[in-house]
Amino acid sequence: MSKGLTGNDTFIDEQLADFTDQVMVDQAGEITAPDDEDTLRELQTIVLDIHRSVPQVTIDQELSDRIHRNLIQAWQKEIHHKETLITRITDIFSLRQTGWQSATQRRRRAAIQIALAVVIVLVVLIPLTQTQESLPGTAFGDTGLTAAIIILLIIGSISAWFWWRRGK
Amino acid sequence: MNQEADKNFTNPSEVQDKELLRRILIGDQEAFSQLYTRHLNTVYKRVAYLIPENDVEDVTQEIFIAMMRSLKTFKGDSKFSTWLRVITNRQIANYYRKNKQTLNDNHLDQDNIQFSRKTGSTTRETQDRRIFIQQSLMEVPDHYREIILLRFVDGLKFQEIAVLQDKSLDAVKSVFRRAIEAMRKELG
Repeated sequence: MSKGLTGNDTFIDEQLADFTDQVMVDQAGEITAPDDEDTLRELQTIVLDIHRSVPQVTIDQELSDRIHRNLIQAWQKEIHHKETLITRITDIFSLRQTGWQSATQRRRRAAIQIALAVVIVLVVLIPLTQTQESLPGTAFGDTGLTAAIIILLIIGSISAWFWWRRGK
Repeated sequence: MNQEADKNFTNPSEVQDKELLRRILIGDQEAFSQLYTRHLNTVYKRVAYLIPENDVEDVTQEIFIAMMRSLKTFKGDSKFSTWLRVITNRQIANYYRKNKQTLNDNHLDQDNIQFSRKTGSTTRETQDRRIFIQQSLMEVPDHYREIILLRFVDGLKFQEIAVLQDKSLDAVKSVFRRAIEAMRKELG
């Protein structure tokens, strides 16, 4: 604490704590500090504001069960499925989701799958472009097309690597 | 009030947590389910307060999965509930970090709808105030935010917070008053 407590600070500490207890227990909604206690009145207002901002939520059974199911699935995966580089790669290529994944993880997995699919398609396309005859006098012959594919290949690989790293 | 006695008091629920942890570490799935059931409500309430409704379920799951993956590192130096709160806060902070832009764009309107649903409130002013309070809460120092969450969201009494944080009751009340002052400054 950078500065010592004054008697007034201690008084306000106690009064504010008591008021908060009252608000939490009785759901009281009125400021109790006298008019000449400006500081305490302001702090009590903040206490009431914070209290009112807290929603009275209770978790419903369906949601609880759903989370529980996903956790058990994740638990079993954790126990039986030791994560290695190979399993990470096979998990990504597997169309069936293994274990629970959050929305962010699902989006990331989809991004990696798309990027890898692009890379595979481009790898297949490169040899095909080599067999086609180029159009004489056009700028976009074999060489241009191959270069474009290689650039896309690099972009696809970098994207896949980026999302892979974010997933770690 | 005998604060020493309170500090030395061993909470039965703490003993149960330790027993469950021991069983979990030898692969007892039932113990894991019990631990989840014991702490779900506390975690959920905090997440539901701080995270937009659409992502509450995901974040709650992420917290328990993070807990599951870190269980081996839990040394028992602090209470399990304290350790779980640290994980909860970290996951919530991660959520805000990852979704900063999206939250800036959508949080206000989305949350207004959710608040109406949760509280039945219809006044725009009240809804805006609630969101403003939540945003301000994310701006105050961690130890101020924590004491506010412990008292208002987790519903712990000041004495319980004092035991939890290994502080005197007077110190806790003092931090609480300063936390409310910090909120007053944030709220203008």
